[in-house]
Amino acid sequence: MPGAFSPATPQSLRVPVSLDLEKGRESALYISSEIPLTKWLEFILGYRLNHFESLGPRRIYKYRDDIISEENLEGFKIQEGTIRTYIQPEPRLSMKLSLGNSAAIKAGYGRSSQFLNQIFNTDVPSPTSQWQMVNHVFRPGVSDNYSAGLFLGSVGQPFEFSVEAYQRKLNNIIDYRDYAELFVNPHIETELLQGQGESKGIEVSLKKHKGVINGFVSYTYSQTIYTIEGINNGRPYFANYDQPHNISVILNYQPIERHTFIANFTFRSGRPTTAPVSSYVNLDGVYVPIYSERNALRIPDTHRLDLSFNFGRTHNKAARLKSSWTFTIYNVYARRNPFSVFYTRSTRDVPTPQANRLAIVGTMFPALSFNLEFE
Amino acid sequence: MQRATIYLIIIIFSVRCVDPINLLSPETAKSYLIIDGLLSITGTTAKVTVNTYRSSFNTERSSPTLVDQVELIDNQGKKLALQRITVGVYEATETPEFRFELNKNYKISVRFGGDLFESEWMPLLPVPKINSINQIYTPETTDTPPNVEILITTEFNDSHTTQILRWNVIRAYQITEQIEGGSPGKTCYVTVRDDLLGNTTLDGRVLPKNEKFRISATSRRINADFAEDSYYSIVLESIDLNTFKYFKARQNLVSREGNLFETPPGQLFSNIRCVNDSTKNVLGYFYATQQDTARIYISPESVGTPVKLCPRPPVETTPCPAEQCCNCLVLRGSTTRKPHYWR
Repeated sequence: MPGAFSPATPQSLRVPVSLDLEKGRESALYISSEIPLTKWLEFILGYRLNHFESLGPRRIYKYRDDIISEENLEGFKIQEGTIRTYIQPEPRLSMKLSLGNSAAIKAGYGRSSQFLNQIFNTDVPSPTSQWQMVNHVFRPGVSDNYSAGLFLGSVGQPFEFSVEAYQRKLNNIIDYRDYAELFVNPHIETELLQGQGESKGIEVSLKKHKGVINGFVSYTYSQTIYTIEGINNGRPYFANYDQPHNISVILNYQPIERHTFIANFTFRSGRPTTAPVSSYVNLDGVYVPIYSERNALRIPDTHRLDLSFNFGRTHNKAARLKSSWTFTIYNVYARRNPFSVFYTRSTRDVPTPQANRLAIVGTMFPALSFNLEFE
Repeated sequence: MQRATIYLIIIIFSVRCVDPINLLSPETAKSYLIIDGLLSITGTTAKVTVNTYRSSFNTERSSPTLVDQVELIDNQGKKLALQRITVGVYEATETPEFRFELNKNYKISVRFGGDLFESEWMPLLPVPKINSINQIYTPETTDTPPNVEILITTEFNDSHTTQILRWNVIRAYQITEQIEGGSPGKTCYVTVRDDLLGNTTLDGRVLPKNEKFRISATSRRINADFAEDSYYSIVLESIDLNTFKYFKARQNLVSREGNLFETPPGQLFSNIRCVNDSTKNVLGYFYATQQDTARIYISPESVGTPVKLCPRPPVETTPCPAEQCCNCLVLRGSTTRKPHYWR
């Protein structure tokens, strides 16, 4: 159900709004073939044909001079049946070049289509986020993905290493206009725009499977930039999920089989945000905040260390039921990681823009769990 | 163990979920030159006013700014210099050599610190006349407080090309000083803008021409401001689509509260640019309109005879619990000079 807005009391001046059901039908045909050219070189070819229909009944809004904007809204008609059909071909090609038994170079290209988009007007997805299906206005999102990487290590070896680079060309990505009215808006196409984007990055990971100390370390650098006519004066800007640095470290220390100490550290760069960068009070006494370009600033980075101690695991290897306890301290150094950041004006005599951090668990948090494993 | 558990619980639950943070660095905080201009014709008075400010991240440091030169330019290239009234306020009136004509295009130009800033060309738009102004008083109920709504009626004709309206709401009220047990002191007349936070625009492009329609210009809860004589003045203006979008955007920014359901913010757009350096931070807006004003007298009896603020019973710490009851000139927009339209 896409949503409705109803007056709470008979005295309310709120005009009730009920949104049409979003309906669509998706089907696909897929074929693929593995082609081993030599012992060391293998190709996989694939082709997926997507078929998507946007279905009625739903309101189709009419706009003056076909310019989609709230100011040009002229009315609507109800349309039944299939409103718009999209056929999206998705070719795929991947290659694997083996370099001995424990090394390989892999590369690939693939196209993928997206018929459902999440729209949110805050720095992070929230309960007010909504889903928007492809329809007669919104075209399917299409991304062309290129990747290449080197993989070292195989099953049985203590270490595994990989490095992989990727690039995505994004078409028909959706983002909202400045000041968009997204909440229960029956003609949301007036508030959203489509354009191009590019995403690229490199991922490096190292795993150690065996030993008293084992674990996993990974680092990802990525960047996603959108360019949409009508947003940010048509200039490129960071996507709101762009978080360039992503580090994950998991260390297990198992001095004896019954006990395991686990340290888990994660780091993510702060999300981009549109925030006040200046303000003034005009001669009428009105305080006017001036916001930055779209997503020009970043909320604080998120990082956290969790420590766990797993103990009491049974000695008996033949036991079919094994139990253990895990004591965990989440967020050991009580980092106040921002779930989102919102902006108010300070309560001083002369109001000033104020950023506020909302931290869901902004402190150290202990937990004790009892585990049962069936084998 | 018990004490440690208590400390742990206190630590966990004493942490607030929301706290203020600073996202800005000196590199990201910006200062803008703000240039706001209005060319208006009200009855027989035609004038242009330009206000200049300097913005700052710390609003306390934003201030009206002195600039070197302000001019109004018409579409034939004729120039009219504006005079400085005070810091950041420049005005000029129509002269026999420089006439303000409806539907003619004008722009403003400002010289400041060696830079030249200019607005886009804006047409001087004719405004429909306000045919009538009325008040509707709604007494207090169990669910709603007492309220007064001001309505105007107007109509578009063939001369109105844009059919988009904006209006200022000016409320003037009388307050007489008095402290408990004392005799009345001086009377002040306080003029305030009531449209600064509310929506005061109407896109009437779908409305038929030559047919009257009604606009709810403002609505306000009845309080002690209405205990003596008061007036509402509605100043109607015509604006084009871009100006309408500008005021909607500014309204959005001004009234933001920071909740999850709010529309996402955006950059305040502008029709002012720096001619010689496009990287200069400048904002503001210039528009030109004819204005029509309608005024209505609000008697205390017509809004339920609200209780006066003064006199108030003294408290131990001060004989004057409400400062305006001892000196009504402390109120913003207050004067002892009676407005010309007052009864």
